[in-house]
Amino acid sequence: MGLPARLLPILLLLWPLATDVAAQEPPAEEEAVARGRYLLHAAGCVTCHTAEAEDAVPLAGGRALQTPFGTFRTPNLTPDPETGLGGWSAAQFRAALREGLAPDGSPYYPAFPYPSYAGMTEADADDLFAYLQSLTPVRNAVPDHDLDFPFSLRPGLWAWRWLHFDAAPFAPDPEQGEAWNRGAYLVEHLGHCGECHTPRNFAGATEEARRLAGNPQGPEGKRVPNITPHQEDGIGAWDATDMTFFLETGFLPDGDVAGGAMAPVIKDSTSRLTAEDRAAIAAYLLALPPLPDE
Amino acid sequence: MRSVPLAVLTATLVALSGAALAADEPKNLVDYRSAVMRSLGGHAGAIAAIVKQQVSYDHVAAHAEAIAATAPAVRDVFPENSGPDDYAETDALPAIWENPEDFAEALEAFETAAAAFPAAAQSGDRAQILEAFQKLGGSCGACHEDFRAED
Repeated sequence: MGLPARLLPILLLLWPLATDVAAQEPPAEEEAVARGRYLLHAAGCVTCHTAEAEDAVPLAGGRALQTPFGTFRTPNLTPDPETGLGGWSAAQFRAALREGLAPDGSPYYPAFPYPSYAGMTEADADDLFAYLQSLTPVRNAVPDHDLDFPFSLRPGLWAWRWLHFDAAPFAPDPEQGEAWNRGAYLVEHLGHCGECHTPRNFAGATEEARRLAGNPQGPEGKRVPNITPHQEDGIGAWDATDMTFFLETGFLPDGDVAGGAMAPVIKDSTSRLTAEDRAAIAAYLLALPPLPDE
Repeated sequence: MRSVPLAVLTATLVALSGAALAADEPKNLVDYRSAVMRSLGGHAGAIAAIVKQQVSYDHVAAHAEAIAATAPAVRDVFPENSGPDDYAETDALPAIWENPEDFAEALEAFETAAAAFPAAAQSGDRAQILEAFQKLGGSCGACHEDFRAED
């Protein structure tokens, strides 16, 4: 700690006072950080914002995402002033997360799932920011994206946003119960399940009519399964317990284990949620309209 | 067993396994491997049904022992002539033979988790069983992620 020895008696004198103050005032900042840590898992930030190397520092960015549009490299979310979010304000973070806009006003590529995060509540965005700012800053300058023409032209994103981006915040459906609404928020916004499980059109926008009905061309060109409750093609044969157990452990009802891109999602995200949140996800998914594969 | 000298028994077994290997066609190797992997998945599915409390059988320990007993066989069932170039029906990826060290490491993690599982299963404590089962599942999934084709 490097505390000068002569300060110690003074500190010891002050200590009871300090703990009394702490006991009287709720540590609001700590609570925000704790809620933010949970939201980090619910929002599945860790997998993409951590490099592939085994010794990579979580959330320091640098993972390469291969897509049909080129290679994206995920940014550093630790509070390093030069290479991370060190100089950011909570308002800038909210704009990035919910509007897809960088602090300089330029638009992000939707490889960053801000079209899903747009529905996140302001309070959740702020808690997430509080958690990220509490991390140890890591200096990690991530190289630029490596995109094919014409996707390399960032101004094209304004047209894309105009056509495809809806910044509406999540609105609970009063006709539905609490679990369904919580599940909708987790699946459609924080968990951004549709980013992989919904097919995309030629412009890389999700096809809303086929919401969560699987993507034949998912990440790394792999097929992503249909998670609507269709009996043959989706998860119609699963019950809520099959669903929550899968999200907790990765085991499918037939004893097989999720591989591919879902394995890290289970490990970093769904296994870390509360049982109530997993049950809410199951309730929402099992109530979706069943869609067959195309 | 005393009537058969050990040396004779060993020689017979070696001769048998040698004869078996000589006859191993890629298709048969792949079919056998699929059966072995499905047997592991079958036991895991049975455990899952019990742990999920969808059925009330008291069989977790038996399934756990079956997995632990079968696990060391897995490293034997990926010989050189059983890849997708030898038999297209296999879901085994070429990475198994291209990165043998990574594959061996993934298998070792699986064997360790499988060997530890029966003790947890015998504890009868659901939280402990679930934790060990999750570890086991994680080792299956990690290997599938890099070395098994989707579908």
